[in-house]
Amino acid sequence: MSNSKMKHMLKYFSSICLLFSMFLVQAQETPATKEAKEIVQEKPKSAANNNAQEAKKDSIPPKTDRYGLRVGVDLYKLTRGFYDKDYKGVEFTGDFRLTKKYYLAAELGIEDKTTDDDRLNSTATGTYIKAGFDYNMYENWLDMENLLTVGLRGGFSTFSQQLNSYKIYNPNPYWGTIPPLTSGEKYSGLSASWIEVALGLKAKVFNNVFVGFGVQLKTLVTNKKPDGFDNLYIPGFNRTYNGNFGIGFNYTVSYFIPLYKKKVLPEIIPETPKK
Amino acid sequence: MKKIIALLLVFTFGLSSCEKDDICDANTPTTSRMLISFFYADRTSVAKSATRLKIQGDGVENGIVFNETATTDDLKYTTNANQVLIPLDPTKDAVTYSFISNFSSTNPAQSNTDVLTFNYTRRNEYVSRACGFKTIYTLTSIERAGDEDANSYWISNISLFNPNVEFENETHVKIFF
Repeated sequence: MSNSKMKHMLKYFSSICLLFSMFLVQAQETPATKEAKEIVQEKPKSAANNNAQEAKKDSIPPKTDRYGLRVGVDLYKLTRGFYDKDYKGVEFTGDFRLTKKYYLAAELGIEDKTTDDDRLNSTATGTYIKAGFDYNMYENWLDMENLLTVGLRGGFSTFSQQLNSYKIYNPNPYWGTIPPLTSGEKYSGLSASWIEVALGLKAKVFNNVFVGFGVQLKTLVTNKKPDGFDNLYIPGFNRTYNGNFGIGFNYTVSYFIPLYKKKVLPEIIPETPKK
Repeated sequence: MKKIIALLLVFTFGLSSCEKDDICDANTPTTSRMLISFFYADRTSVAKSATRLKIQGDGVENGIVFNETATTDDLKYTTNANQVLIPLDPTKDAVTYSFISNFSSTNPAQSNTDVLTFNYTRRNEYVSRACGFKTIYTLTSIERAGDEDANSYWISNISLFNPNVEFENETHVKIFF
């Protein structure tokens, strides 16, 4: 394997490490908040032993979790079309809270991407769908609704590719260099499927509006390649490499549509006060 | 929390710059040269070494380099091997080479030149993202310039052995002298 390839892998790897380090920063906040939570909960408990009436007044109203549908759009893909003439695309995201920690999640997108490599210029156009679940690892305090998720998706894309121009690799250019050749050949009816591990972060900025960031590591499961060419870019999967490896990310803004509420059972059940 | 989001934003734009290319591995079979093997005219199965053979393309300034490190031009452009790899032109359907035997820049009178034209068809085939495409040639005919007066040529016979020029490890043309 070429050296530059390894370099890229390393680059991605270190990027992912960086992302994880951010999660660690995040995680370090949690124990502190937990402690605070325990202190808060202990107060009414000790008071309950002395005076049940007083305890009732002091206690926090029962916590409820909101359940509903969150719909959003990937701002990165949406805005990229404005400054990158080789890209047009949009991705809609959605998740539905199933339980306290689990969310059903899906993404739906359409992309038109021209890839300009040193020796090849090709355009991939197609749609994709990704569906799976997210698990929220973040311990929210009080009425916070932030998410730090790890999830799994299955992805599927149908697309076409057009070879715009190409160069012939000639290691012995005795007769001179060869100019790039234009092709315009279209390869349609292509498809690919993959599995991805998705790491995400969603923060409630105000009311029901969330901003989120996600990074996905992908591995191809099926890849229907055209005869005499390759799938250099798969909508939803992104750039392909020699192996099955892929990477993606999104930056989303989403809106939460609350549907119903569920009461959160207190973690420590208070003893029934004796009279 | 807001700081983290800001950091992630920076990271987002850092990641988008990672899309670069890799380099075509030299071991990948790409556009192949034509392999010519030399044999004795009277013993057609016995390989024969060329004597100070210079091969120069029609309209090209220099001959094919056989010895990269040689200090003199005579050594650099001549070979005594029994096989030579010569490039075809991926933009045309024929190449013409001068095969100069006994080449010497100080004594041109002793050299003998045969001019051969190789006709072929070609098609381009996809290799990889890094290498792009390669050209595969199919040799159709070989012509020798001048009238067929056997005495003035150093090559006695030419045979098109394997017309499919895709790999460099098999003989495509046999020259007997």
